[in-house]
Parts: sequence; C-alpha cells; structure tokens
Amino acid sequence: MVFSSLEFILLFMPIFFGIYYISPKCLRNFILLIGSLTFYFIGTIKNPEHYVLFILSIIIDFTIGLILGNKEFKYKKTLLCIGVIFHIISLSYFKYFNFLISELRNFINTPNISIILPIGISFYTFQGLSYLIDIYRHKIQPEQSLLRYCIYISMFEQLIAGPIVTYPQINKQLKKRIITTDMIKNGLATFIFGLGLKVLLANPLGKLWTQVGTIGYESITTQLAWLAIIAFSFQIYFDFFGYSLMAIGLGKMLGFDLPKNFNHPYTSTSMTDFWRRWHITLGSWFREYVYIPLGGNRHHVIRNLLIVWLLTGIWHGAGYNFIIWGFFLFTLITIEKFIIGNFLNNHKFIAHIYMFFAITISWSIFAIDDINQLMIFLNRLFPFLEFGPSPFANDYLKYFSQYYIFFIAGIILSFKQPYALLSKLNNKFLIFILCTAILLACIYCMAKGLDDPFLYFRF
Amino acid sequence: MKKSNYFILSLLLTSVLCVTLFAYLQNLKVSSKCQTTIVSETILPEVIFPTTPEPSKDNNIYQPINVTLNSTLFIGDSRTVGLMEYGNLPDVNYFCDVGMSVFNIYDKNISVPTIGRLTLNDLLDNKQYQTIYIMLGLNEMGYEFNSIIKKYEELLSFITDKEPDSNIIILGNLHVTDNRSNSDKIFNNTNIDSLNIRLSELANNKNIFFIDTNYLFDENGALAANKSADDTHLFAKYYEEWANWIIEKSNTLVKEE
Repeated sequence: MVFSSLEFILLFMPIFFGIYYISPKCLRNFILLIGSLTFYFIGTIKNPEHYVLFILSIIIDFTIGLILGNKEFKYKKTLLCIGVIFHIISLSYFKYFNFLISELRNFINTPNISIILPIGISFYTFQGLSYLIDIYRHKIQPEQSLLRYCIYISMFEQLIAGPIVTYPQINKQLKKRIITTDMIKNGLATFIFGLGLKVLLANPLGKLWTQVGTIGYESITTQLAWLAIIAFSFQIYFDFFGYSLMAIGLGKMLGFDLPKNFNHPYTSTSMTDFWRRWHITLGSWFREYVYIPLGGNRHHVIRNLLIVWLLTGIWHGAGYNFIIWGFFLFTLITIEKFIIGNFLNNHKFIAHIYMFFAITISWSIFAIDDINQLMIFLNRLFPFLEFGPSPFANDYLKYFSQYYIFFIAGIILSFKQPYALLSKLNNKFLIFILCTAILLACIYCMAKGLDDPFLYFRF
Repeated sequence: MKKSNYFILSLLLTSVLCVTLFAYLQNLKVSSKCQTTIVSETILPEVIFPTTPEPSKDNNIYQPINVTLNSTLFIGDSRTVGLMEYGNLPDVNYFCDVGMSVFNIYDKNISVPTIGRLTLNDLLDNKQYQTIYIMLGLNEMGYEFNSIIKKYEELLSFITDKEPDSNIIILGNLHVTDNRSNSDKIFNNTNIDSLNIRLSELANNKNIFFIDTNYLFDENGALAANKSADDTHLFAKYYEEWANWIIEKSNTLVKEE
C-alpha cells in the first residue's frame, strides 16, 4: 500500500487517524505500532516472510542495543559486528541475489529463481545500523522500551521510502509529543501537496519516459531524447520529493518532526551541492557512518569518496548501471573538489549549464539498466557521436504538445520561490480550497488509473 | 527487561505467528487454484484460423487482391498509431488513435494526415478506398466477446455501406509477451487468441478477409520479449518490417467470386 493509493487515503488514513486522535495519549504509541504493523503487513501480504524478517530485525537490533549499553559487557565490538553483518547480509541477499544469479547464468547453469525485495528494507536497515553504531559510539543511550524502538523503526510514514531518520532526531518525540490542531492542519496540507506533486506532476511525466522506452531509443529523435530525459529528471524528483513531503506531513499529523529530504536540488551549481540538497538524509547517513569513519577529508580523501559513491550507487539498485552511476558521481565530485569547485562557485551561469548536462547524463545512467541501450540513448542525446535520423522526424512536437504544461510546472516548482509564496499564504479559506482541489484531482486520477505511468489502461 | 517489553515482544511474535498462518492458508488456496488451472489448460483449443483458399489456375473463381497504397486506409488503436508513425508507408491514410475501440470509433474526431480532422463517417464519405485494414480489439478486452463481435459486425456493415467496392482486411490482434500474458487476467494471449478466432470467423473471403499478424514477432505463442519494452507494443524499429509484411501478405490473399 503506497500513500498515493485510494486504499491509503480513503480507508487507512481515516480509520487510523480517527482511532489515534480519540485514544488517550498514553495509548497513542501502541496505536501507532498496531497501525504501522498493519500497514507493513498489507504491503507484504504476498510475501509474508518479509514481515517475519522485519520483526526479526527489530528484535535483534533492540536486544543488541540493550547489551551494547551495558557498561560491563566486554565484547561490544564483536557484538556490533554481528549486528552490522546481519543487516549487510540480509540487505545484500535481497537486493543483489537476482543480479548475481543472472550474471552467474552466463558462466554456469543456475536455477531460475527470483527474489522479491522486501518493502522498505533499504531504509529500515540503515535506521537499525545507525542506532547500533550510535550506541557503540556512546552518542546515545539504548532505548529501554521495545514499544518505542518498534515505533522508531516501523512508523508507517517513513517506513517504505524514508526519510532515513536517526534515533537522536526523534528520541524525545517518541516519549512525549504535542499534537495541536494547527500541526494536524499543517501536516494534512503538506501531505496533500506532496500527493499532488506525485500524482499530478511526477506520474504524467513518468508516462512520457515510459512511452519513449516503448518506442525504443533507436527510433527517437535527439529532441525527443532530451524531452524524455528531462521528463525523467522531473519525474524522479517530484515523485521522491512528493513522497518525502507526504511522509513529513503524516509525521506532523502524528506529532513527529521528520527531517527535510530535499532542498531544491535542481538549482544546485555543482554535483557536490546537488547531493547536499538531494535525498539529504541518505547523504548525511553516508557521511556520518561511512565517510567520516573512513577518514573523511583528513586522509585518503579520494579513496573515501570512491567508496562512499560506489556504495551510494549500489544502495540504489543492483546492476552495472548503478555502479557506473556511482562512479560517474565520484568522478564529478572529485574533479569539483580538487579542480573546478571554485570556478563553479564564481561563475553561476556556467555552473547551471554544467549541472544541466551533469544531472541529465547521471539520470540517463541511473534510469537505463541495459548498457547497450544506455549507449544508444546517449548517442541519441549527442547525435554527433553516431546514428542517423529518426523515422518519425516530428516525434518531439507530438509529445511536447501533450506534455508541455507538465514541463512548465516542473520548471516552476524546481525553484524555491513558489514554496516561499505558499508558506506565506495566510488565508485559511484559500488554503482549504487549494488543498481540496488538489486532493479531489488526485483522487480522480487515482480512480481513473491515470496516476500509474506503467499502467496501460488504453492501447 | 521491563514488563511492558514482554507484552510488546509477545505481540510481535503473535503477529508473526498470524502472518505465517495466513501465508500457509494462502498457499493452500493457491495450490488448489493451480490444479484447476492445469485442468483448464489441457482442454484449451489449439488456435487454428480459417484459411483462405488457394488460387486456382484452372478456373477464374478466385481473384488476387492487389493493394494500392494510395488507396489504402488503416483503422486501429495505438498499434496502428505505431504503424502510422514508424511504418514508413507515407501514401497510406490512417484513422487511428490510442484507446480506439469498436465501441467509440464513431465518436472519434481524429486528425488524419494530409486530409484533416474528421470522423470516420466523414472520412469514408470523402474518399473511396480499395483496401481498408481494421486492427481493433485490444481495448475491447474485458467486454463480453459477443458484444465485441456484434459491434465489429456493425462496423463492417457500416464500412461496406460506405465503401461497397473495398476489400476489408481484419488484422488479428498482436499477442502480448509471456511476462504480461502470465500475469494479466484480461490482456493475456489465451483471450487474444479466442478473440482472434472470433474475428477470423467474420471473414467471408469475398470482401472481408482476415490476417493473423502474429506470424512475424511471435516466439512460442507470445510476443517475443526482446521486441517490446512494455510487453505489449512493438519497438518502433519493427513497424516498418511489420507494415511491409502486412502489405505482402495481403497481396497473397484471393477473393472468392
């Protein structure tokens, strides 16, 4: 069950929040746990073993955490290693097994097995790891309440797509949180706005990207290739940003203050800057738990950067393209750090042009998992490399006329000014009308099946 | 450990127990369903389309169809849109749109290249075609077959009234890939084959013909997986080959006098 589904909006939300708000404060954590487990159970209904793994992971981390917090315990490092290895093995197994098997198939006869990735495993694994490492480093005291620890890991609003929350960020709110009517209204408005970004903007643009894939990259013009990759760049941003906003909004409605995950990344002037603004909680996690422990900026900087960016690449998915993508980011960030960083800081216009190409090429590598197809697509983007004309010369006009409104909205909403304007809106009636209109439009699209870029409701 | 922790621990373990039990019951259901499916698969008929008679040199009761491109019209859904854009048959007219079906075809006001925006009725009033292709059926999936066929018959009679001298060629619907066919209750190859059989029965080999278009891109009764990104539509690079094959195949058809 995703947030942008009718079941979640029309069924789960009203029932859960109805019970949550009428319950006495002392029971709210319990209600939240039941709600979150139900949410996860519904999500894993076809693969119940994923639910078992999730609960096992919670119990293991909580127990290890308690033991690590015991001052008299001598084998803390060993125990931490056990916890870390457990998480790395379970994440690697589910995330990379299919890829490894398909690669092995080139050399030996392997069984035709396919494993489904458990929902949210990339996120709850990182939260569990940060919790154990923070206790080991004496940064935090272990949580004594299993209920509160369960909530830290399983809160439904951040369970399946982040933001990646660390324990110190919500530690106090797990014990005591204040929920005001203004927080609920504000949270609901944030949720609806995020829903709108996903359903009304990201999904239609995703459909263009899917359509271009259906045509095949060999048969598109350079103009359509650019339209497609810009569409994908907007889609991935507004999809993830929208989802993060929904999580933050739901968090507010529950009384939690979840960290911000995006800060207008497409206005960045360097790739380094971009990754400080894109999926902020993931970047912070890698900096805190991988880059700095490796030596950070103090020694072996290039090695440290290479490790972090390759890990960032493979965290996003299993495939050679994710490794190439990680390496591409490492290369740009290293060049910026040692060579062109100051130049970009002083020449904003050139920096934006550089970022336009850097972002679109990086998303091409990210989005196309077949290396041959990726080369064809890059050749289409830069036609001086190879390739003749497309058989349908005006393809870009056809698609631009269908999607231009979404491109305009995407460009406007990539800047910070529209959000600043929205946050200054004081007229409650206007906010109500705006939110109602967005919500109704989203419900309409979801009911019609228009929200799913991969769903072919018409041929 | 605190007492409340034992309570939560027992709650978590109970939920795991319930989930395991649920999974077990689900498996029982699925395995009984599988048995039913295997039984039904064994009684599925083989797909055999009515064949067009061979031309005979001894008598002149059969006349070959000759397709003249500038007097040809293609009517259809998104796959015909693909033919129009990538088929490289510039002299042909196309009345096609994504989502077109026998149920909505008369309401469509479509921009036909070199002619303008008009309805099917206006288009057929505007020009006499020697050959008219119809490739519809996939958007209709999910409706009851009898109602689809009834609407198809209405469309054939509508076209025949407007264009009495035309040869109408029904193109069978292209398969989807195994991946889609195995996971989609409606858009699967069993349903597509059943509909294609019903459509082939509409052919009279006098002015209405049927061509099974799955010859070129099929692999074991399904659209070859490497020829489609979405398991349904061909990559654009195959449309030209497909268009040429359709024309060539049409030229081998013969008319019973």
